[in-house]
Amino acid sequence: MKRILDQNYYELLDIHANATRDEIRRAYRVMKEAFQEDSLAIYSLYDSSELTQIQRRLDEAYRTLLDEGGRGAYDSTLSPTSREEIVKESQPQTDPVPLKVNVSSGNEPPVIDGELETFLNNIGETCTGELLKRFRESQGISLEWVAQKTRINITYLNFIESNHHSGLPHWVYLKSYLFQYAEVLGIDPQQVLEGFLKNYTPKR
Amino acid sequence: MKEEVLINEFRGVPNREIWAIGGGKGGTGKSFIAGNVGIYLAKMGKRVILIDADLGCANLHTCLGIPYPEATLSDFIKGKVAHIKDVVVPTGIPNLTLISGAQDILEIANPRYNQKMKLIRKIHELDFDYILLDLGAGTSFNILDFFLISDNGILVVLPEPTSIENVYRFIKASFYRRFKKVVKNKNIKEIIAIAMDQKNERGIKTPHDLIDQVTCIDETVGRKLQQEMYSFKPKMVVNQVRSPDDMALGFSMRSSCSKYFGIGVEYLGYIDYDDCVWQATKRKRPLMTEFPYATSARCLEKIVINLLKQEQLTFESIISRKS
Repeated sequence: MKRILDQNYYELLDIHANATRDEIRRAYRVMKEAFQEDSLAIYSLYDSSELTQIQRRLDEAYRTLLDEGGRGAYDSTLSPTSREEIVKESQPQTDPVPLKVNVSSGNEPPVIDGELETFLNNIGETCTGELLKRFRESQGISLEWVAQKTRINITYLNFIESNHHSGLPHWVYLKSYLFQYAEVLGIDPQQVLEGFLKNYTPKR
Repeated sequence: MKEEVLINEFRGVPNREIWAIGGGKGGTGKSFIAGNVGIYLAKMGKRVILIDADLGCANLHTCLGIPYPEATLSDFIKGKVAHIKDVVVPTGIPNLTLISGAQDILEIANPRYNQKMKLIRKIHELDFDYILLDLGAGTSFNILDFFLISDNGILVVLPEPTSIENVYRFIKASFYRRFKKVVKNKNIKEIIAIAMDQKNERGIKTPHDLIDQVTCIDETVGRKLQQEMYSFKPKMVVNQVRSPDDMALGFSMRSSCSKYFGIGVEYLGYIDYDDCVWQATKRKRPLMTEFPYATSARCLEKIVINLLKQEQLTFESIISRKS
């Protein structure tokens, strides 16, 4: 086992080399939470500067692996032995486990359908509250959990998801809420902002 | 016989398993878990002996509701009785016996080296299916050595930063102690001793740093330490769980141990915070006999089953418990 900052992106996220985009998103979300400053699981192990480095590397890993071209280019830099080892070593012990365990519907989170997949590939073009809600539910995440993690009033989160634009706060605050909401869901926050603005006229 | 040879020779004796329950912080439920796991194994028909290895702070007899026995562990250690079986007492539960530390002499908390080694030798000679060692709090050499002789070392943690911090400290102390025992080179032993100080001048912060520095001196020893790190697989139980996040803590601590220490901690399971536990303790009765259908009792049973099957808790089993 290598030092955390020497691990390749797959090792860092505890995923196998053939991980799906869904698995990458979930793993990213788990690891981001596990390596937050106030995370219990890493208490007393890392100092602030180490955590900042780890967070940056997690972001890098996520952006690279989620982008098809980027992932392909990255994979070509890994030795064949490394790739085999990543596939082999993906044991249940190192599989990512979402920290969030409240499942909003059923025992198994629903699979991402074609429409959601299109949404995720084009978030920057169109991002509505309804699609964000569907994606959230597909990951088995409750809105209460998002509210708890982001400390955003659940009423505003409901307004975002129901496209209740008149109830939304000023853009200065809304931007921050959307950013945090996207982060906990494991989606590119900047793209969410861009896509959301295409369907929403901010209050000035 | 040298210490490291003794310990290695008796590791993993077939048809007999030693389980040690430790974890660093006091009050996490080690005695509670040791006692009740012992009861559950005994109910399954296994021959079990519980040993209160919390030298100087013995509590197992209280957890089990047993009156002060006539002969206890210090009687054996001091040589007042010739054989360890002379201090084995019945618990009233079929298949379950106890070596108690009740009212032990005060100096038992600091046994001499030869006294400790005598106890370790005799533990290995006991003829039981399962030998459960209830360890004390802290990271003294005695506690670490008892933990390291076990076939299954179980760490008990509460979902609180103080307990988590102490468990990580315990893990670090354990395998540094293990490293020291397998290394013969004096210079390397010294480096390991230096590494145990987090603020050491060599800049060794993690086991990776230590192994790197050792490998520079002797590649073979470096590889040996890596192998030791790889084969060190303590188990973890999260006690007093109150929320799904608490349940899931074991998974994230497992991941943290893998990434920081490079060791594979296995998450056995969790135990719900349950009023029945303190009620049983107050009555000086074990949970498994006083409240056998309590949720915490069910949790303990699952943990024992995972141990016997050498399996870990799965995420799916948590998902099925909707909040």
